[in-house]
Amino acid sequence: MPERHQSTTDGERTVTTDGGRPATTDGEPLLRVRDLKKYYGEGSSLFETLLGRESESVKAVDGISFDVHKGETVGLVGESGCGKSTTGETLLRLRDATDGRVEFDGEDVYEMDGDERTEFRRRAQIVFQDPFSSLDPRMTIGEIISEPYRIHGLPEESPDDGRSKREWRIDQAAELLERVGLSANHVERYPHEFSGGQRQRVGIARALALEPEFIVLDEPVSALDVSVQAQVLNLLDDLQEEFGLTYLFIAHDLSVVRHICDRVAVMYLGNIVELGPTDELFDDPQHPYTRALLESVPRAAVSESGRHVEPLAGDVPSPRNPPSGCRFRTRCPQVIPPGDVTLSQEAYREVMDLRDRLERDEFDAEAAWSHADEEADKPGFKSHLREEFFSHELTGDDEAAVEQALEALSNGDTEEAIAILRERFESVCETTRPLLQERTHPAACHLYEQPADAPVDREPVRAHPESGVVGNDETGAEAD
Amino acid sequence: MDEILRVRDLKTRFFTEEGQVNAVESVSFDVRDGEIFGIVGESGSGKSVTALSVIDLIESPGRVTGGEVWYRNADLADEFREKRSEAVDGDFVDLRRLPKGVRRSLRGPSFSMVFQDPMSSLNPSITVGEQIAEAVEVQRRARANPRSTRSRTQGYGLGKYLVDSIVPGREYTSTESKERAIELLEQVGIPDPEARAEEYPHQFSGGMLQRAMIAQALAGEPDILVADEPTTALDVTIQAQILNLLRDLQREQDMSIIMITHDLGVIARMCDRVGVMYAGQIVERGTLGDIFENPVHPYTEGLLGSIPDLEDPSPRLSPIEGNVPSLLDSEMGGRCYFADRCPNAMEACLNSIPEYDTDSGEVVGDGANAEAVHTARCVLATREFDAAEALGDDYFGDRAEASDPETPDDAAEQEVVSDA
Repeated sequence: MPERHQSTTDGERTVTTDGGRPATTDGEPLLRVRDLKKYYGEGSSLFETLLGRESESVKAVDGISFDVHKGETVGLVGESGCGKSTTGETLLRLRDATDGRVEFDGEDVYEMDGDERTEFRRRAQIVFQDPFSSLDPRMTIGEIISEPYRIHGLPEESPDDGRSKREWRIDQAAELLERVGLSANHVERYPHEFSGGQRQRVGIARALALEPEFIVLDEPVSALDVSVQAQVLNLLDDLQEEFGLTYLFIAHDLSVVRHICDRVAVMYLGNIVELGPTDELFDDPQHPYTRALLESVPRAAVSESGRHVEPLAGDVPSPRNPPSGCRFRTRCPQVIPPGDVTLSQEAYREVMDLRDRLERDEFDAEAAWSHADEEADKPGFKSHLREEFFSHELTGDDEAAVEQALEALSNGDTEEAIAILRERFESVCETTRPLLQERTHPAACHLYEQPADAPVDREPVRAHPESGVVGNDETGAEAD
Repeated sequence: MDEILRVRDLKTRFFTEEGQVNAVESVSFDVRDGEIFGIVGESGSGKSVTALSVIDLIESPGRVTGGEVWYRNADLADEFREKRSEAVDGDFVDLRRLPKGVRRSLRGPSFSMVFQDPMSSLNPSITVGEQIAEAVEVQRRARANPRSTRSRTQGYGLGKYLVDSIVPGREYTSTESKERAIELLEQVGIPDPEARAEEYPHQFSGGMLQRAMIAQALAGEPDILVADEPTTALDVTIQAQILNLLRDLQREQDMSIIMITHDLGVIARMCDRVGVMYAGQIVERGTLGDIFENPVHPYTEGLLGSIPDLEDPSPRLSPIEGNVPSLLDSEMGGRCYFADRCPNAMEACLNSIPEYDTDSGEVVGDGANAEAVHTARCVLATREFDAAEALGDDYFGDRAEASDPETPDDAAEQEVVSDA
């Protein structure tokens, strides 16, 4: 398994076990997120309890930790449904967290009340993705931008120059409009009179009204055309410099993230899988998911034509019932087999797909039987399954285990088949949840050394002497 | 390679309450056998309407008002050589001059389309397999009776509908077409196609639905597949799957694809030649290399300068200032439509600009220089920029101001497009 060996040495090269924090960690972070969880549909309703049903919650964000330092832009990137927007909204307390802790400037956000909370809401703002639905169509631009002042009771006293409080607020709004590149006399207009890019500028002006320190930018440019997107990105850059703002930039477009962010966290199915300084993460991606993601992005250059892209197979699993261990293992091109299994990754993936189907109870025995010649044609049944699942040849113990499992299936004993396959093929990736290491560029993946306290999702059926888990250095290398 | 489609001077108008919208303005391009031709542009640039005009799917209040769409089909040419000689040129027929019924019968076996949003393009209350089988069935009946449109969709009238609702078990599709549907699902890479064919659209993920849409489009084995933003609604890893699938299918079936997208990366990965659209015109077209490495039109340059590069993040993007202009006829005027945003606008740009061959600097059109590979609707194709003739920054008035009134009309036009 040359790939494995490669990766293991890779891991050793990058692991610096001095427990050092990122280089950017000078002083306290402005925002500290620890083990944040947000489950939707948590807790059964009375109705469901009466019916004896248990509701399954959607684990949108499932234990993520990161810091954001003053003046930096941290990117949160991932595909739809990975929980990035939920993270942004939950850490601003726009949604209640299920568990975990968020500190803003040293204060626990979820413990704040009264004045403290109002103060937090002034200092931390958000810009939403969709400029068409995030502005009230019945309010003028001036009213929209000055609404934060009204809510926070500003100005506290009427200005000395004889303007009313309302006039003061509208004047402020006009000033903000100019700052975001629109004209001050737009205050009297309504949102429908503006294009998408202009509306997004209004959204940014509203977020700036209370002179915040921290802004969550939730896909601020993804609804915009490229030429307008570039204008808004430049504007965000300028504003950050001018006001010393700190951004959490949520996006799915990797090119945009690379352009604007200082550090990037890659999310997959509610977890952060990799975190690092932007250039390092893009030039030397560690996690197989990050690599696949970068690989998939079409570059706007002639060299892109004919570039071979091996896309990730399959879809993101449901967050209601995420895979055990590593969330990415159902699509990962580098799942770690037990040491005595000598299959190629492709052949191992085929076994894993069959196992996944069985364990998720998605295996349709009847359909397979319909391909057999007659009721009791076990060889026909088995050869159909082989045809359906396996294109690579298996040998030795691997072949024996698969044959036994298919035999069990032909006897209708799915449990037995699952057990046989698990005994032989179980991967560390499915039993143990990988964690982010304590370093500047950690990756939550078993290909790299894992902390000793990595949570075990499912007790392994046999020991994994070879897999290099639990911080055991030597065994990782000797496996090959 | 021979052309399969020659579009010449195509014009499409929408007649709205605000006035006449020139959604497509004198568009010309060719599509060759077995190539992927890309049309790239920002929203409202007219790229979707161009494709819909080619396959005659424009609906009221829109109308194709001018131009020719030459499609190579020897059988059709023979059939109409006598009857309508003006509509035939060698093996080519001008689709716009053929009877409506014939044009309609070409949808499926000649042209077919994959839409942007797979969620809203499939019927949620019919199983995926059944919907694809319907498409297969339509094509099967059409083949049995090629030039009749009655045998296809109109055969299913009110009478049959009533009979079907009273007598259960009578279906439009047959067993053969259902089997073919399963084959198609397998061909587009849907695992376990027999089981998935029985499922409803909501049980499919976005990527799987887009595969099903493609299967449906392939039902008639089209010569030309129009893919309108086929991956815009999808995540990047799923996008990679679908793009690979489209490329493989294009090679296997030797069809041509017209790929419409706003994403220059998708263009670069997929296309052989590209047309860049702005304000209803193809402002520049050429090979991938022409467009990405030697762009002539300042809009093409601006578009390329606006996208952040994944490999090499430049500290500052150079966006195009201003906004897309109104496409209202009354406001269009006879100048280069990009002049008000163009950094290199000169006095010559205030005239209407024809398409130039960038090599020779000669005008392309009316059969002249039709071979030109790299063309641009820009004065800069014929001469260098001359600062002495440059228009002042404030020539078009305050840019922010000038662009404001455009929005409601723009929105109206967008709605029209999606309705069509």
